[in-house]
Amino acid sequence: MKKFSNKLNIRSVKKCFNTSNIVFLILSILIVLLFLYPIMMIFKNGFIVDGKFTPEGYIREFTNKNTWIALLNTIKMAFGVLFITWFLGGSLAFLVERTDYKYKKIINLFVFLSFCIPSYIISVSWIQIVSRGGYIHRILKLIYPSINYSFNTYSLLATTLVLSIHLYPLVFFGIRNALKKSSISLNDAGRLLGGSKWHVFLKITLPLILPSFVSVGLLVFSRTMANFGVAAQLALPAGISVLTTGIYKAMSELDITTQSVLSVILILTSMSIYWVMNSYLNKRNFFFEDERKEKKHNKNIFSLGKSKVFVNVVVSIYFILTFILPLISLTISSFTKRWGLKLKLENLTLRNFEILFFENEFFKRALFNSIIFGIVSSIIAVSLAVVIVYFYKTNKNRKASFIYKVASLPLAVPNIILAVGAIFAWINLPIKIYGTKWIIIFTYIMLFVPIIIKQVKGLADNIDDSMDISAKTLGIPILGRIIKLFFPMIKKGVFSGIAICFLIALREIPISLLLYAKGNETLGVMLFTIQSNAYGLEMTSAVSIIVIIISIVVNIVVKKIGVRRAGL
Amino acid sequence: MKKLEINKISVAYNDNQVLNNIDMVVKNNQRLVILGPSGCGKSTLLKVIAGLLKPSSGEVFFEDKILFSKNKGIDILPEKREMGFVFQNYALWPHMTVYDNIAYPLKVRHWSKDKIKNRINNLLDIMNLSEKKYGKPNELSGGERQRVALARALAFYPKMLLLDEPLANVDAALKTQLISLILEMCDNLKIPMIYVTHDQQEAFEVADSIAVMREGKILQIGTPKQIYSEPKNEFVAEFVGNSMVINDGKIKKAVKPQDIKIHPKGRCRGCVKRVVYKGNCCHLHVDDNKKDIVISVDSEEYKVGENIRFDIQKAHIIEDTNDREMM
Repeated sequence: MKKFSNKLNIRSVKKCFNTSNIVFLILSILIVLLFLYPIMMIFKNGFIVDGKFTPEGYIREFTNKNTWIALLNTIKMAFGVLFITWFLGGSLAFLVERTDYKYKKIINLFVFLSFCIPSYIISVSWIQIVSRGGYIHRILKLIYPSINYSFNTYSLLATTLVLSIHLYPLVFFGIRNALKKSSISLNDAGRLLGGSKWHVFLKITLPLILPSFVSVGLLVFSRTMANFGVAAQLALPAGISVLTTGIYKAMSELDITTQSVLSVILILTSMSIYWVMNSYLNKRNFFFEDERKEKKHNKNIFSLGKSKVFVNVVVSIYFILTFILPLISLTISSFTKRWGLKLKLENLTLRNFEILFFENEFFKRALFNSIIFGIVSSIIAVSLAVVIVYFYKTNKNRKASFIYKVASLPLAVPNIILAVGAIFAWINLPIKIYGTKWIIIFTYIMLFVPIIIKQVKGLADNIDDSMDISAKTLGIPILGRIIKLFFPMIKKGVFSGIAICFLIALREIPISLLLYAKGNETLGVMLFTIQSNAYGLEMTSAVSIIVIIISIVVNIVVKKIGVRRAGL
Repeated sequence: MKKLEINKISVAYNDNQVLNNIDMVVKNNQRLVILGPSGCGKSTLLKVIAGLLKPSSGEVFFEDKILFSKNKGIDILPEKREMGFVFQNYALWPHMTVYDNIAYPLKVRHWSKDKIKNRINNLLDIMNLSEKKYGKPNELSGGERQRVALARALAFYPKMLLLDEPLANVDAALKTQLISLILEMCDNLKIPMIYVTHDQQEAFEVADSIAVMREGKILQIGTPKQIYSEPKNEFVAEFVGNSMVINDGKIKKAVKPQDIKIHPKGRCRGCVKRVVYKGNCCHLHVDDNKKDIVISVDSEEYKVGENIRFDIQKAHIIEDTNDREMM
C-alpha cells in the first residue's frame, strides 16, 4: 500500500514537471527579468529621492512648469506630424489607388526610398539646406550678394516637418493597402444606386478606410512621441524641450528621479493614446467577406483630366523637396573637403570615404559594433520570439497569454525608455552588465522580440492547430516539433524580422547613446556625436550616405522576402 | 415593347477580347438569363449595361435613349442609368445599418424622410427583415444579406434589375425561396431583368428566355425549351441540354440520355463501365469504342461489365457551323 502511494506521488510530481510547465517556468523567468523588471524599475525609481521612498519626485515634477511644457510640446509635435502625414500619405495613396495618374510607379518608388532614409539623417540634410551658410543661403547669396539671411533652422516646426517627411510613407503604405483591399463592388453599388463619384467617395469609401487611418495614425503618433534623434538635433538647440530630450537631459545631469518621472509620463501618455485609438478600432472592425479577386478594370474612378499638369507639378515639387534635394545635399556634402567651402570642382574629394573606410578607427568600430550587436541580438530575439509564439499557439491558456502579453509590451514603450529601464535594472546584481556591450545587446533583444513576434504571429495564425497535435501523436518531441514543423512554416516572417531588426540596430540612436561605453560605440552614437567632434557636416554626410545605401539594400531584401513590413 | 438594345458591343483588355460583337434585345417585363461557364464574359456584359465598364465599341440603348455609343461619344454615368444591381458578394456597406443601406439610393434622390421610412418599412416587411432593421450587415446570415441587397436595389423603383450571380453563395434550400422572391418583386414593379448565372438549373427556374455565352460570344438566345431541346451547337447541347454530341458522318447529333433505349436487337453496342444512381433513374455509362455514352434507365438491372445493345430514338441535328471554328 505504501509503495503504491509513493508511486502516486512520484507520478504527480512528474506531472508538475511536464515539458509545458518547464518551458513556461523558463520563459517566465526570462520574460520577467528581460521585459518586466526594467520597466518596473522606472516606476520604482520615480518614488526614490535621496534614497528614501517618497512621492516627492512625482509632486516636484508635476508642479514643475517645464514638465508640462515638454509634455505639451510632445503632444503638439505628435498631432502636427499626425495631421501632416495623414494628408501627405493619404493623398498620395489616393492618387495611386483611385485615379488615372500616369506615374504611379514613380510615386511608389520614391515613397519607398524616402522610407529608407533614417529620420536623423533627414534632419542633418535639413540643417545643410536651410541653415545660415546652408545651400539655400549660398544660392541666394549668388543672386543677392548682400542678403541678410536668417531662417529659423531650429524649432518645433522644423522637428515636426522632418518627422512628417520621415513618417508619411507609413501612412501611404497603410492607406494604399486599405484602398486596395476595399472591395470595388462596394463602390460600384453606390454609383448604381445613384450616388455621384464624390458622394460615394465621401460616404462609402472614406468611412470604410477610416479605421486604417486611425491604426496607422496610432503608429505615427507613438513614433513621433518616442523620437529622440530629430528632436535633439532640431528642437534642443532652440531651447525647446520634448519629453525624450528632457529624459536625456535629466540623465546627463544624473537626476534619476526626474528621469524616471518623465519616463513614466511618456509611457502613460503614449499608452493612453494607444488605448483610446484601440478602443475606437475595436468598435469599428469591419470585415469584408468574400473578397474574391475582382478585375480591377474600373479602379481608376477619378480621372484627373485637365488638372493632370497641375498634379504633375505638385507631385514633382513634393518629391524634389522631400527626397531629391535632401539626397543631393547629403551627397554633395559627403564629397566636399570641408563643410562651408565653395562648391567648386577642386573642393570635391573622395577623401571622406577613404578616411572612413581605411583610417578612421571610430567608424570601423562603430560599423562593426552595429553589425555584430544587430546580428547577435536579433538571433537571440528570434529564438525567444519563436518559442513564445509557439507556446502561445499550442497552449491557448492564461500562462501563455501572460508570456505573450509581457513580451509584446516593449512595442508600446519608446526606445529611450527601454534604455533608461535597462540602466536601472542592470546596473546592479543580479545582472550587472552596465558598461559592457551586453547591456546594448540585451536592450536590443527587448526591442526586437515584440517586432519579430508581430512578423511571425500572422503566419503562425494560418497554421492549423491539428498540425502540432498530429505530430504529438506521432511521438515527435517538443524541440523537434518547433524546429522541424513550426519553423519552416514561419521562416519568411523570421527572416524579414531579422532583416528589420538588423536595420533598426544600424540606425537607432537613443539606446546605444544612453548605454554605450568607450569601445562599444555604434553607428547611431557616431552620427549623433560626430558633429560636435572635428569632423563636422561633411563627415556626417558621408556616414549618412553609407547608412542610406545599407538601408535601401536591406529594405529591398525585406521586400523580396515578401512578408508585410511592420514599418521602420 | 423593346426596352434594352445592345448593338455590336466589344470589350477588350489589352489583347484579351472579353466580349466580341454582342447583339441582344430585352423586351418589356422579360426575364433574360445569361448563362455560361465562368470567365465567358457574362458579368462583363452586365457591367457594360450598368455603365460600370466602358466597351471598346458598340452601342447600348434603353427605351430609345442612348446609354452608350462609341461613335457618338456618349456614355451615361452609372448613377444616371436608374438600374438596380445585385452583386454576388452582396456589396452591402459594412459601416451602415440595414436601414441606412437601403435608404442610400432614396437619400441621394432627395426623398422626404417620411417617404423613405414608409418605403423601407414596406420593403423590410416583404423581405421579412423588419427585426434586423438596425443590424449591421455582419450580423446577418447569407440569405438575409442577399435580401437586403435586393431591397436596396429595388428601393428606388429602378427601370431594370440586373443580377450578377446573386445566389452563388446561398445554399440549395434557400435558393428556390429567394428566386420566387426575386421574380415576385420584378413582376410587381413590371420591370425587365437580366440575371447572370453559371447554374443551368437556376437559369431554367428564373428565365423566360436564356442567352448562352461562351468566350465572349452569345451562342444562342431562345426560350428555355428551345435551348434545351433545339441546341444550335455542340457547346449549348452539352452545357445546357445535358446532351451528348455524336458525330454521324458529316452531321452532328445531340442526344439526351433518356432518348436512348436499350434493346436486344439494337443497332449500337457497348459495354457498361459505370452505373450511377440518380434517384428517379439510373445513368449507365457505356463505352462504344468511340465515346462515353450515357443512357438513362429506370432500374438498376444492369451491371458493370455487361454488354448491351441500344438504339438512339431521338436526336437533334446541330446545324450551326460557326461552332467548328470556335472549337
